[in-house]
Amino acid sequence: MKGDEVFVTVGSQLPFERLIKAVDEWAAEHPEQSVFAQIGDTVYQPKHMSFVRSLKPREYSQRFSQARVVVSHVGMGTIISALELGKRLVLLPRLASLGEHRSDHQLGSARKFSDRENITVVNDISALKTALTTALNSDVSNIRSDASPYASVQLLTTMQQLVAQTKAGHP
Amino acid sequence: MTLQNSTGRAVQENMSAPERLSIIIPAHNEAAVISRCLSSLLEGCQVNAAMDDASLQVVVVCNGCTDDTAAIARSFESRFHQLLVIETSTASKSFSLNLGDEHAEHFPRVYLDADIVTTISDLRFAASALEADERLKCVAPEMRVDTRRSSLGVRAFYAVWLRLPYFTDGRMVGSGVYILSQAGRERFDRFPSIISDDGFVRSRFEPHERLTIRGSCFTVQAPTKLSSLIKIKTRVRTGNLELECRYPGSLIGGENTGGALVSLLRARAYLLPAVLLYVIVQKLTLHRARARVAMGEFSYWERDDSSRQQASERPLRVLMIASSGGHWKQMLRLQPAFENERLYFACTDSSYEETIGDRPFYSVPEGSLAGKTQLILQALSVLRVLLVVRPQLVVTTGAAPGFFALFFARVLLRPLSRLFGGRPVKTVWVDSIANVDELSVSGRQAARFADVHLTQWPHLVDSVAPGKPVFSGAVL
Repeated sequence: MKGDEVFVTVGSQLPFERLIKAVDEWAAEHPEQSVFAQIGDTVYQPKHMSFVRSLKPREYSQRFSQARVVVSHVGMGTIISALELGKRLVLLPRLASLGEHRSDHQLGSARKFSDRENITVVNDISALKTALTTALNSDVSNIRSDASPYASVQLLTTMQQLVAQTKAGHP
Repeated sequence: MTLQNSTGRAVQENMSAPERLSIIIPAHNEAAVISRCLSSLLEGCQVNAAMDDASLQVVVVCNGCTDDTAAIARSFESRFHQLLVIETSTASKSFSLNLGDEHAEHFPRVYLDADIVTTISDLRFAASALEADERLKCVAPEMRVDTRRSSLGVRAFYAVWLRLPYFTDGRMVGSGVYILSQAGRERFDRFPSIISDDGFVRSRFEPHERLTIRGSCFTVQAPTKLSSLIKIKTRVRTGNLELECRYPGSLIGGENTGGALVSLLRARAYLLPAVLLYVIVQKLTLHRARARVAMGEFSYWERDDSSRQQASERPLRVLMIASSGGHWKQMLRLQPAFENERLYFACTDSSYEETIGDRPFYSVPEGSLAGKTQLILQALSVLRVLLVVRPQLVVTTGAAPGFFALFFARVLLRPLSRLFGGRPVKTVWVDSIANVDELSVSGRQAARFADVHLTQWPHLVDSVAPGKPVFSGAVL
């Protein structure tokens, strides 16, 4: 399977009309780019890119790693995958006011992760389209994929201590 | 005074002049068992008796230890009159035995493996036979094999082994513990660098010079699994082959002939399946030992760790449960902490089974967004998983299925374990790193049922949210 240039994913839970519609419009303007989208329960049906509702983890990883740029909501699954794989991301936070999520926590996540070199957070669809074009034209070869595949040593140590305490029968 | 040794037989002790004894315990990374070994020595002793007993010397030689063996051994210093803990970086049993000999002051001298359980009074009783009969040079208490934690296969093996002449004729002496008189110790110079030190010692003496002393005993933990038994027996056989090779004419084994097996079967036909298994194990281990010798691997030291595990070190049943997507991705990053445990997974998406290899996996219905009915179905499904897995530790990164898992673990599993015994379940909530400004809704709900409630953002620690989350690192 040859990778698509752009991989769009809305995550495993909620539809994301704004994002899918915007990327579909962008795809119409850039017919030379191959775009593949995982759209979940999004009602809007893309016309200018291929799409599926959901992906199994293995195929998700495959499409993710082969894409040049990934467009998504500010989901931790996407962010962690991108850090692990050194992938360029364009992220649009879901807004509670538009019914896109139950809370605006994605704005918080966006704030915390927007300073990573490979992550661009946008706040509206015109910025999304611009950022996508820019990301595709940028050099992706220098993104490091050096994120450890595991939690921090501190957290892992805490977990191991818990195991030891549980074994010892400590309350 | 009268002391009870572990066979229940009263041992007369002359308190004015108790027999002198030095006990040498070589210990290589024995943190799991050294405490059991030392405290068992004291069993049956009056409180402080060992402390006042100047005739007793214990020398623990920690060799090449990378664990707490020495510290644990030292913690017993106040309980013996003379407990010497020596540390050397050389990981070698023979080296340790020789080092121990250099520091030991008394005879008779006990050479004791750290995974053995016996008492001072048992050792004294056995040692007293050396005085009583000058012809004896090398004695040992009777071996008991504790197979309570062993699989059926291991039990079957020992059911046969313990009935064969090598063991029953009382001349075996020294699988894990042997006691030498001064004359006995002078039979050889230093312990050679060899796998089977006990085989070497045994082969220094004629059968009439060595004896198992009835009325005293020691206990070895049998391995838990047949695979561990095969490892041990392979090592023993490799050691014997090495002994034969380096010390031709050594007097070892040979008592357990095919004829002995036939006699055993005549007397106890029901042991047939066990005898078959015994024969298979013996053939297999001999084959493996020969292969090892052919490769020149005399120094190969196969040690069994399964019988060294204390109850507190048996793997935990850990359930890791989370919704699909980011929750799951975060949870998998915690997995290395539980690699040595028995891990079970549960997720709201059945296709996620492909992310966890061969570990057992359960899928539960999606429920967080789909209304009350779905949520109830999810809760029931999580309950079923808990009852099937019976986890001792539940770890979740959220959301709804994690909440239900912690809830049922605390309100149902924990009371059940109180009722029926067993380790009480512990629950851990790791709030998703996505929740930067406040804890997640489910995280706040789960706080009541989480023994450990973690946020991945230090600035949320001071939040007034119920449960007072703790920060202790993040998944990134």
